Amino acid sequence: MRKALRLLLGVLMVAGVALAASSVYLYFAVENGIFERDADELLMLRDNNEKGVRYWYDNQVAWIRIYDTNIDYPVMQASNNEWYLTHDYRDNDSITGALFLDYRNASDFSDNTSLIYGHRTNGNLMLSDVAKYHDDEYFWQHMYGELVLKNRSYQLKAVRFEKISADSPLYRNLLYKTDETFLLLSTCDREIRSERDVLFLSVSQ
Amino acid sequence: MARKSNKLGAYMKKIFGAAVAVLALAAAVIFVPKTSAAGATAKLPTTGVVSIPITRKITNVGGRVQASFRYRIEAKEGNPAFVSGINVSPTIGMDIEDNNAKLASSECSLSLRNMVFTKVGNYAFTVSEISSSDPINYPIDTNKYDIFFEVTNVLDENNEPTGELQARVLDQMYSYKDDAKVPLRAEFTSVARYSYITVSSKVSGAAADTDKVFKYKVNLAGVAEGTVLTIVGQDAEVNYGGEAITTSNSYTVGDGDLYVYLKHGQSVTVGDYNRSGVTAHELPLGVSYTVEKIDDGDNYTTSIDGSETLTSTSKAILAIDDDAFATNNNTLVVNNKESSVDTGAFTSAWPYLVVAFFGLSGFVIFRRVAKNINA
Repeated sequence: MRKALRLLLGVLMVAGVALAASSVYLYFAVENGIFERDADELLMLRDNNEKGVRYWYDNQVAWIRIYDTNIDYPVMQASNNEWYLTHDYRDNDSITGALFLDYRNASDFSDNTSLIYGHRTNGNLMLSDVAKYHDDEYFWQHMYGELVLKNRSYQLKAVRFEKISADSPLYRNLLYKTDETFLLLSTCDREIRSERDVLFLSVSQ
Repeated sequence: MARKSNKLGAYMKKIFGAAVAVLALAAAVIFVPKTSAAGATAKLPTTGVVSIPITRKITNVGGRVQASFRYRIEAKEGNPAFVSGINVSPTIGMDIEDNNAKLASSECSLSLRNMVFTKVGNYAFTVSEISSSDPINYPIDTNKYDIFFEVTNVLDENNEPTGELQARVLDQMYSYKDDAKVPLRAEFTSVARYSYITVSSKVSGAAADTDKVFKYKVNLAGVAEGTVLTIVGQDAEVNYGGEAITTSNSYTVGDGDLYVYLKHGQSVTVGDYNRSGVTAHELPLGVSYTVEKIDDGDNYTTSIDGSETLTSTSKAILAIDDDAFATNNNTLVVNNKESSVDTGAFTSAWPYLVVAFFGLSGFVIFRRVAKNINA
């Protein structure tokens, strides 16, 4: 009986240590944003993208790049707005997910308002840089970018940064203005979970 | 006395004359009276029947047909003589007993018997359809047709009139439609006005999923049991709530409930038969149906046909209309799920530190307990 109890306690101790160790690892992993498990491949893709050699993943609809920021990613689209919260552009499990276009948007970005979501991470991954647009100086220095589709590309220009409620009608109606075409980059606010940081970009040929 | 006998003789003569007249009239009706100058006896064709090939057709038959149609036959002005023996309001009955009959068309013909012509010449009649026993599903055809007869003497071997007449229907028949004078057989047609229904499914809302399969119960009231209805539009294999389901392309009324499985943007039709060149609809007009979403606990709210009240199991009750594109026959179900997209849920590192703390605490506690046990 005593022997069995010792064995059980031994197992529990090992489990406790393992749990503690893995949690510490996850803490630093998330803090440093190293969950981009295919960082090298992503860098290679970015490099190829520079050279005009582009590989398209199955559900990829575009590549977005805001010059001189870390926003330089494939844009995916799924049948819902959940899948790419937890899956990367190769559809592998991922804490940081992938940038993705709202499932309701036309994949050719022909809607008046297209909405791209991405995680806010502790590092500079995904759409974390959107929050930096809160600073005017940063805004004016990082206004331009490009959106590359398979058969065309668009120029992007930041026109506005705003903190809005997660329940804003903007997310229900997907409509910012009817007379122009806009691309919105939406990510979470770090402090207030019910708010979103949104960068409004005008889209032109 | 002689005057009396003369009076009696005259009276007898009158009676005899009257009797002869009655017999002659009877002969005229039964045996067809003489009409030719040569004193020949007119008669019907050898069959005793003048057949008018009126055709009654129903197209797009998608099930049992029980209907009859009544006609009016009217002599046109200018005929050489009065024609007796005409059934002025004949009827054609159609009865296809098979609930599941799928026919491009079904038809019957009408024969007019015992028409009695008394004089040679050309005759014309107008035939029109005046009623249907089921005007909702098989309306009358409002076309009218002229039918022309030619009545001639029967000739003997010397080409002399025998005293008998013969009648035949000429080939030409003319439609009244747009006053067009084109040869046209008298054919009355109804396109069976049976219909079909369409159920369409959509999702809306930031948290909805266009790949999610929804289950709907379609209940039809007033369709005969045993009727097989054609189902078109749903995927052959669907995954509903983690369960693989093979759907069917038909449903037999009375054989359990009818369920259809649809994703965003999909539509299913019930009762729209279109195979092997036969197009037919299978749902009688006026019967009602309901569409009900089966709640799967996924927190979608549902509206059917724009209903303002969103519930998880909305239901629509509609009467089937004769126009397949009518609102009543097209039910749109919208499943809505709104929720903010949580783009920061996985970026907080603190929960991991909390778990690590509890893990280490557990280690320390169990170690102490283990020491005590060993002591």
